[in-house]
Amino acid sequence: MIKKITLIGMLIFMLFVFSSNISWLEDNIDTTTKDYYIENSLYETGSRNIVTGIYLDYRLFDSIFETSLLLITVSGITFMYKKDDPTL
Amino acid sequence: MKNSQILVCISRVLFPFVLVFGFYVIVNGHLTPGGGFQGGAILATAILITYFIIPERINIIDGLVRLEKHLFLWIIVVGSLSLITKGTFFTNPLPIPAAISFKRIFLVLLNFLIGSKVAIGLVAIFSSFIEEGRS
Amino acid sequence: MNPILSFIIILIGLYGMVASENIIKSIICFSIIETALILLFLNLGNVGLGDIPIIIDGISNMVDPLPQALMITTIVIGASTTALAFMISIKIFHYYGTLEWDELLEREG
Repeated sequence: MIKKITLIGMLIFMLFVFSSNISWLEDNIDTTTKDYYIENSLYETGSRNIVTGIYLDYRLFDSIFETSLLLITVSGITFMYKKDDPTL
Repeated sequence: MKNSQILVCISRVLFPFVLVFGFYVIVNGHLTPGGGFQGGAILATAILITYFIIPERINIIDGLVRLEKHLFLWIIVVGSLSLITKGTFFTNPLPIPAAISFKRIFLVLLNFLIGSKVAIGLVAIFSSFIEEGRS
Repeated sequence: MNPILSFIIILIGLYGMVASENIIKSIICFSIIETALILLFLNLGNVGLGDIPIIIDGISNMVDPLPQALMITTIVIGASTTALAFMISIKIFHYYGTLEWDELLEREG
């Protein structure tokens, strides 16, 4: 019981810290990258969908290693699903 | 595992439409909302519908993982084509002042590769879960 | 929508991860945290109810496209980590015969 009360107190403290920090963040939002993407995305990547232009041209490095992570997950799952081995 | 007749009939009607919709979302990823990952998820659901239609055991998971490794190699090869033409990794191989319709070939090709890879990966994951539950 | 709302959902997931006694419930709370994180990022990118980030005529006030492109990565990674966690929990159930944290700790020590 005392453990749960302590836990809830810690969570409320984290909420207080976050809400006091988020209040000034709404005024300082920077729109430089957004304006750059809206201005130059169609000319530089040839894509009308800006999201596709970002993850296939500007940040293709990110996408490729994300697909490698999916490949590693599939390999791990198909390695683990054979249940004849008792130690695995 | 025996399914009801209504579910099998509705799945047979629904299967080609979901398949075509997945390909539409993948190929039109640069014009409309969508893209490789989302269309790959739709394609994976379309292939997983066949587990309702054919309830027998089909063991194709090892072949799927092998095909996925080949697709990942092709994605890396297509992504590093710009090393030859531009000298930098992982961008469009065509120069920036080229025509937009030529640059879209790269986008459509990469979207198609990523979409099929995500679809095959999700099919392999859920097939291994289904086989685990049956045995 | 307020970013504080998504942070409240993150805290609910954190409490569930600490207080739950079953492995499956812990994995569900893990994916609750992840969904709330996606909601937080999309809220921060959406400044003043914009439109979709697609360049067509008649759209002037767009949302920020960068958080949406990052969150596609997060969704796929979340699906794969959740699937791997479920597969490991199936293996734990086959090996130990239970999924409760307390019984597993007693069995190990």
